[in-house]
Amino acid sequence: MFPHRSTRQRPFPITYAALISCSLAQAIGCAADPKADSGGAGDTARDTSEPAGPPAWQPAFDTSAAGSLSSVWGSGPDDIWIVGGTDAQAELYHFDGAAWSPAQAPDLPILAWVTGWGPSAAFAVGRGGGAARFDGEGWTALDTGTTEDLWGCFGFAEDDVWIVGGDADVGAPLILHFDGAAFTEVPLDPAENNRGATTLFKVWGSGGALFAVGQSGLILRYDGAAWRGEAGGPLADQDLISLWGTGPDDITAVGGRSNARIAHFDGSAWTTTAPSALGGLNGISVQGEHEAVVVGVVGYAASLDPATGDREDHPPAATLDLHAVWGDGAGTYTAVGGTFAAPHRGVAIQWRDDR
Amino acid sequence: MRAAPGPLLLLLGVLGCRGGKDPADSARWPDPAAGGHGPMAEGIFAPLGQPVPFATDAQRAIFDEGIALSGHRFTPAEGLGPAFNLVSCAGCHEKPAAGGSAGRYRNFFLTAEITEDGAYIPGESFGKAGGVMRLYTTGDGLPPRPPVPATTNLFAQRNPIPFFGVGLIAELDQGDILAGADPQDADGDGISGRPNYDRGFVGRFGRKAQTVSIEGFIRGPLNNHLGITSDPLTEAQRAALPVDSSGGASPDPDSLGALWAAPLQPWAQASAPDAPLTDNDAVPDPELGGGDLFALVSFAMLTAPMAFAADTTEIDDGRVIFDDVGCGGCHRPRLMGPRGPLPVYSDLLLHDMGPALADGVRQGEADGSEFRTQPLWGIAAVGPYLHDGRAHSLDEAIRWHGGEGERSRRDYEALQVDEQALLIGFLRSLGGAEHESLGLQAPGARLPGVGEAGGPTTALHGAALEDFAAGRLLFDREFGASEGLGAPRFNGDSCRACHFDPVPGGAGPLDVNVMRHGILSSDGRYVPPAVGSVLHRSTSLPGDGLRAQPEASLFEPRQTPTLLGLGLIDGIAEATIAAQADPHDADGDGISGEVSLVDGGRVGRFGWKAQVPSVAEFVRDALSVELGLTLQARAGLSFGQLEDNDDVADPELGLDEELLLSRYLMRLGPPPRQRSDDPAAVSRGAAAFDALGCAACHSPALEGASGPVPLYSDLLLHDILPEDTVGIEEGSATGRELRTPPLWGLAHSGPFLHDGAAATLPAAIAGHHGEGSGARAAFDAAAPATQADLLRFLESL
Repeated sequence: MFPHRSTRQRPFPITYAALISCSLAQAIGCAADPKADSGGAGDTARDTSEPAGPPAWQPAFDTSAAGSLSSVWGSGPDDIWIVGGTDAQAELYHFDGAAWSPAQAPDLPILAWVTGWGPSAAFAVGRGGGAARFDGEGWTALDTGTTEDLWGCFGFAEDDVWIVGGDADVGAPLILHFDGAAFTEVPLDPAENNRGATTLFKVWGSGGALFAVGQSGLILRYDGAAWRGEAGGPLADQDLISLWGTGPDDITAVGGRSNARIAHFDGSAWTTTAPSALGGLNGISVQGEHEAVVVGVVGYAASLDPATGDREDHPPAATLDLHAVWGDGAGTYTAVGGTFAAPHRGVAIQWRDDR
Repeated sequence: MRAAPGPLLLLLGVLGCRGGKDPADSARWPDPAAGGHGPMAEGIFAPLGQPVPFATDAQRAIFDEGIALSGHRFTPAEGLGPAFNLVSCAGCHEKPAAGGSAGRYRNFFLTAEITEDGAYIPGESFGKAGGVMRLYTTGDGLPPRPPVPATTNLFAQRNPIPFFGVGLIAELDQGDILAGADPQDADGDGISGRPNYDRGFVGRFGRKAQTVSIEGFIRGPLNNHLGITSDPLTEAQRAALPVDSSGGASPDPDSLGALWAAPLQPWAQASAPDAPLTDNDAVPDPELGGGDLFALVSFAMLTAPMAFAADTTEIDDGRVIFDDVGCGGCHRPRLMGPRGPLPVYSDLLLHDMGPALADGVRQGEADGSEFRTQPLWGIAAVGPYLHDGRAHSLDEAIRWHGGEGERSRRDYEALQVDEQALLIGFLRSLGGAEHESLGLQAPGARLPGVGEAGGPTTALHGAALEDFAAGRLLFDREFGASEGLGAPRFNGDSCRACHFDPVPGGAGPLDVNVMRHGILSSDGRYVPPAVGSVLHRSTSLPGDGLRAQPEASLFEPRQTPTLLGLGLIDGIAEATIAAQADPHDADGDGISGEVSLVDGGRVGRFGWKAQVPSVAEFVRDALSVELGLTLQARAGLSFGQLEDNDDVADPELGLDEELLLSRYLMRLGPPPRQRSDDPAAVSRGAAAFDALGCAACHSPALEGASGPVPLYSDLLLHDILPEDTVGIEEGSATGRELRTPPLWGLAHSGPFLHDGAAATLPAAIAGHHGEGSGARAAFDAAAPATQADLLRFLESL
């Protein structure tokens, strides 16, 4: 079901601005040799006449008036939500297959994450305990009963939603469950918090498996009754920020702030690696056992084979940090990012994988 | 799918073909990769404490602003804390001037938990601070010493790192750093430097090259060590920094696509993450404004390295030995910057320095035994050396080299003594030798005269004057572990480490408070810990975690009082002090001063509990307790430690030096009175001082050996703390009793009260309880004009 138009404001067209795709090459000035000192990454501007060229991200829409953009999710290629905002006000943007439009956001501070179950069922959480639900008509704020920052949410269904968050400096990680009507705090045994974390960042599940990841490499698994700490290994020592997978035996978490971490779960154990010379990763979208896209600091984006760790770095996609990426299953990826500090600024970019 | 290099290599490609300041364009420079010393960039050096010569007038102005800010002492009202190690940037970066290093007393601790599955998690210290252990807190209800979590199982130390010339290092093309890397030791020379990375850029700052961001390197310590929060600089500010750190993002947010398509600037590596920092004290965040942060970052970027000495035959010979020993394998003489070859004497790469130096700290891609090659420019002036300051001299530093540096160390050790001296001489020629000092006192510094702070009580001549000057130097002198510093713990590595406000011998700010601790028994009494009541702030054992005794639950900071005039107080007869006492309040004035009796019945007069009877004993007590130096036994004196358990033979300080210090303190003149622009108000204040009852304890003068001593203290113990206080007991002083602190020098001895909790004089007056309640109430009831007069009078002392 297409979201009700009345919740939107003025739409504006997708801006695959050719002038921008050219400008990077012009600015670099040496793009004539696509392999020059780029390690084979090739030309930095997308050449639409050669679909097999390197991934070239394009602005999704004009974000000059947007706050920081934190998360992107969709039910399909013609129904994509982006959330974000500022300290004062959440922002929502929607793509209907033809154009992006701002949507009326509840009176909440910046939203950090969005998930959903279909065109008329989406859910978002954010800072200050903010949460909102989309019912096909509009977004409605929910009373979570907390003022803690909420960084991630995932639901097997609209009445089985898990939310995680916490303060980055003090306290304990916060885990909430939403049954469609009310939020319930689910305690975490401190003994299971094997990283001394004060916050969790994301939660994701599949096939009965449910994991949450967070500060200092904390990995938790829900066993149906309680959350248990998992061993991530020596390199699970940096914040793990996001996770995604193809099923209960193929889940990848990414993170790191200054130095990237990639943790993979094969159904029995987690193995964490630290790719050299790579800054922190913030977002991952897994489309297949060997197919994922990751994004991170300073506009970093790459194609990643989660099974092997091989990755193909994309030409610089942005200068702002990218926070999240989502693939529509049809070859198009949308990534968002921005600055969490005022003045908030955001970026939304897209890439269609034609290869 | 294939692995491809990160964006940084693409960036290198970008940079390599940019126009502008490409040093390779200049044929006059030899290739630094060849490893030679060769010519160096012109116009990069400046005298100590000055900006780089090419700074514009505007940059010089912001440099001055930044250097002033670096010395600013933050107060709790400005956001200091709630946990902190320091009150100012210059507290750690003071030697030989702002932007430099500091003695071991300013070492800080990095802690971590190594988890069961082997992960390195930075330890907490009253919150998360990147593993930095904090020594103090501000605010009511907080433990004065933040506890060390039970899970913390790794401790390492860091000596403050100098940052002269960091702006020039920030300008370096990371490709030139990478050019020196040989991670697999492909050339078989036993040296396998590798880069560290920060956000995908080659790291260049910090003991482990863990960061690329000067802004981050200022915001981080401000937060972790001072508890001062900040927001990131704006893009416009970053673009305006002396080293453009804008990263290419347009400051114009309305520019469509500007954030996406702008070219990455070559100096993007100097920018910082965009996270605002917050804390949970009562001061709104950010506690440091953007303009101030800009000034501090600019100051750091503009601070120039010190000029090298002119070549001499000896320096040339030393340079040859430097090469022969293989120092240049890591201490690469030149790195090519946009202004020409920079004589950094570092490859800025990580090297395994062997098990003796390994500290277990993992930062970025650096493991526990890897460290960045320390730049050698200006090295003479910034001792002690190595990451934790364990080396008291350049010779010691070389002898600590292991791992990839072991072969050079062995070659050095195999040299003749005069050859070693030539090599050290060459290192000293790399800048800073004229500022080299075993303390903070500059070579040839002027000696204050009579009537000046830090000067002698009476005019000295000839041998007596030389003796006084020598004592002052010894007071300032920093001791190293190889000389016995620590037992193994210590509070200061010199006497001056705590007593420097406003001159050596003076008081000390909050961040040199010493800590006493104890155990609160089940029935509410003070029980002294088995390890003694002093909880030190440092240790000469690298892995010592400075944990308090586990049962300890009482912590009491002690502010550093001034030592100026100590000799005059020493000359006050015991009977004079005792004559002030009224232990049973026979006169019914509510004040019952009590003589502090030290072992053997001597009258105590020094220390917050009047627990020390004489200057001679004070010197012995401080040398042993605060510095951890053992002393020779002396008849009639009971203070001082005669032996400890380190490897240095006892006594660690000779009798001659001990006596020299005693004579210096005995001659050190009293704090000079401050001139007031309103003498009449001061006179009225003096009258109010009497009228309000202050003088009942703060006796204006006691008769000394050569006349009245205007110290404004009766040197007696008074019950002065709140009734429910359970404090540290010491000597004959109960937990609530403190010696009346002399008020002379008040203008330069803040913060006030025994724990430094009062930032202002009104706050100090408000902190009077018990026997001081009457005077406090009288002050509170006084007219505002009278209060103002009294404060003027106090400030005049």
